[in-house]
Amino acid sequence: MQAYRGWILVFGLAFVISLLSEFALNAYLQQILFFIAINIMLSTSLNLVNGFCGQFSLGHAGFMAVGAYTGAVVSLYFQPFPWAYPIYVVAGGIAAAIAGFLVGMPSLRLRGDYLAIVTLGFGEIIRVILLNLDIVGGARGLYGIPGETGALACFHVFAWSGATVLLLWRLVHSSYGRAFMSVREDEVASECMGINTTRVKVSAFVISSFFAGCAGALFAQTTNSLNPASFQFIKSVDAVIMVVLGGMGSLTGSVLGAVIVTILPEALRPLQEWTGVDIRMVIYSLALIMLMIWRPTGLLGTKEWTSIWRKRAAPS
Amino acid sequence: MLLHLKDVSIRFGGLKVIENMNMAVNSGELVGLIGPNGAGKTTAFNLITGIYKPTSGEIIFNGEKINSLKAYEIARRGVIRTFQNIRLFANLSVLENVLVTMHMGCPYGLLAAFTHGPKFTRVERESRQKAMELLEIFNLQGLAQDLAGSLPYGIQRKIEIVRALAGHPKLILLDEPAAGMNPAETAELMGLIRKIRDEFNLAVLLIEHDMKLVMGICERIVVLDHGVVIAEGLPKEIQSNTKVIEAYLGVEESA
Amino acid sequence: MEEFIQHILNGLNLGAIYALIALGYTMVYGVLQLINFAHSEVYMVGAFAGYYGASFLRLNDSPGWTSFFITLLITITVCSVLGVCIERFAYRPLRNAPKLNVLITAIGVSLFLQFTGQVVFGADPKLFPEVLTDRTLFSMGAIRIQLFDVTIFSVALVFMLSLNYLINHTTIGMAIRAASFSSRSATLMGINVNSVIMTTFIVGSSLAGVGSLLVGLKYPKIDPLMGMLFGLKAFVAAVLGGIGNLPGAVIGGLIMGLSEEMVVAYLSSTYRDALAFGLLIAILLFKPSGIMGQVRVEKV
Repeated sequence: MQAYRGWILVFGLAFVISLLSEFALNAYLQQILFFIAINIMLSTSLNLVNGFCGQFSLGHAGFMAVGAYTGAVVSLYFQPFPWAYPIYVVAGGIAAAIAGFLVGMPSLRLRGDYLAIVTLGFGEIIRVILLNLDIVGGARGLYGIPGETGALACFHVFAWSGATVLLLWRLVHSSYGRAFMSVREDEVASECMGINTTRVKVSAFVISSFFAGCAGALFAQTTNSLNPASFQFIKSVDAVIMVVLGGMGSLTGSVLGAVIVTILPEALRPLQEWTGVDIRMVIYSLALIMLMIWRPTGLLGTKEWTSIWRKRAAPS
Repeated sequence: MLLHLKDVSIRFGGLKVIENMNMAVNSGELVGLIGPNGAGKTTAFNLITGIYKPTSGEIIFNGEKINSLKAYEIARRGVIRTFQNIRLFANLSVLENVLVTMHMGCPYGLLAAFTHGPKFTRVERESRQKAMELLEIFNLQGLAQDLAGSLPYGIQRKIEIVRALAGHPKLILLDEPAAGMNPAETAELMGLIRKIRDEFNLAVLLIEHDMKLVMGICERIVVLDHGVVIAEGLPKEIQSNTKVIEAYLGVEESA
Repeated sequence: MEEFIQHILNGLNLGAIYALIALGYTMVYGVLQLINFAHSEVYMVGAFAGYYGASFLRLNDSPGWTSFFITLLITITVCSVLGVCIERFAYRPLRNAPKLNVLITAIGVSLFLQFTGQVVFGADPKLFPEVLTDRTLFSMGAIRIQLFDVTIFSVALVFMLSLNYLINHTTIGMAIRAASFSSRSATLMGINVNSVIMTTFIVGSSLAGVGSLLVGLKYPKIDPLMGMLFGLKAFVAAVLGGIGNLPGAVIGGLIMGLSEEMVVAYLSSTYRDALAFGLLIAILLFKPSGIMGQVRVEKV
């Protein structure tokens, strides 16, 4: 019925995109498309915590890493049937969710900016642990991870990406979404209106980590290899920029932010080659500062694309 | 006795803000808590709602000692408040503000929030309906879609009351509900407070400086000064109580 | 046993440097309730200012106390100026913005300095010039007390004592204390909160400048990314001692230095950085207000 419409949209879009990709794009552009899908999962899930719940997480890369390595390891040792990729993604998501719970519980009990520092530290610790864990390759990296990049894989990635956006959209447009936002707006008032703010914050954090983990597992399947260097603090900053640029509190904005942040470095690559340095981080950081001073609401603020329709329709 | 404060004290460091406060509110009663600025009235509210914990004494609500409960647990047991400095969810719509308090009674779980099935749709529709009905009592239904933070002060005060009502409280705490209102608005508010008390069978405890409102609707008044209860009784008694007059106006200097 | 004492001495030394940086974090947090992520980069820039300054003035050709103090002057000046600029251009416009926005800006400034540093200074590590020559002052068995160690500890101590005097015995210090308690009330009392905040940043950044020189002496390899990890640990030290509490920052710094030294000596150097994170989680679980901190009651 009504609920199925969303899924039809998701799978339909994924189907169309994978067809387009297979027949209209070269391998380089195809890979960018894969990364766009993965980054959409990262930005929308981070927005749940940063944008809708008003907390500041700086460790998204850490959860992505947990999901990536878990998914990769499971796929290397456990192959129940061909094309078991969705299982590995779920495995990665669950592992990341557990990590999210362990990190979130102590830090979110407290009111304040502690989450930022804890998640920053967490991201670093995960990376250090992975660097020293020789079973998963350590600094040399993990290779030979099962994963394809054909049309079917493209469908798979975009189905997950679309599912993430759909599920988060629904969550945000429910009583739970309002609970998240009330915590963002005024935690004390929220608590006095009967909202268990700690549980709300931890829930948002765990859900967000789950999808980051899924994104990580898909990342592993796309690149077929993993290295702790891919999950440095910069990756967490990437995610933050996607969310802030698009608009904290707008899922549509996060999608837009993800697309821009994925494409921009590729577009800036000639400049990077010319100067010989990673000029994009200088640009990113400057962009962050300027956005916060002049347009803190980002591109879309808290508006979603449905606002355009709603302006014509009568209020619900 | 719905709410009973037994010898409640709280101190912050060396400062005794409330000392041995005894107060009771019965079901359906309309009680006023008054006193000069800094007397500790809002602190009393914070103690009752669980934002502060008393250093000694007991707070009993509906027969249960609620001293050590968290604020949201107390809200779920039926004690909901408004704030002296308005604390609305500014970037949410008026309707969403009211819906937030309904979350504690939400019959669907996280799974339904993800699937948006028939139960979800039904519950959402019913909640919105109930919220609109509450807003209608205060004649705010036209502003349902407006951002709460963008509205005038007096209207925000009323929205806070509706938001509190949405949680089906047994006791509602109003912290200076008439602040910043002109006499006409205050008279309207008096009627509304009486109406919600009657219609929802609530007990109301309110802090107010506007004496016309206090004397007009309160059935009983408790007077707090420097953290101590100095008088309690019917409005007529309080009006002529010398200690109360002294607290507000000071002692007359002998010529 | 002697080795143990040596480790204690080393730990205290390292801790003294952490304390200097932690003080900067805690002072800004006290007055602005902001985690000044950029503080670690101010520290980094200080190290490079010392590097370029000392090299330009050929101070490493004549190592000694004069060179040391000239370099100190350079690092302190550059760090103070940078700190003031950051406050003025990045934080002040957001004085009334939601906390989250300022945090994001702070991250932005930190990253901007890191990466501009990589572009301007080059990503390769450089060797801090030897503006002072080390020598063993005292040795007894396995215990060796180096000139550098004594210098580091005494310089750090001098600055901490000066800070204590400033905060507790001067008018401006009183203003800073008032502002960190309640900036609104401070304004009502006629205190120019803007200049108090600027002073806080000058003092905090100067201490970072001192710390960067001391680090440059003892651990001469410097690179544009050196600030991040060191700053994170210093911040954890500040939280450990009670964020916003000055003596707490010193205690936290010493604890951080001691435990790091012990972990490296007796456990494994791989887990040196994990230690900071572990300490942070532990303190948040058991005493979030920190060792010296008091729970700040929020006015509702």
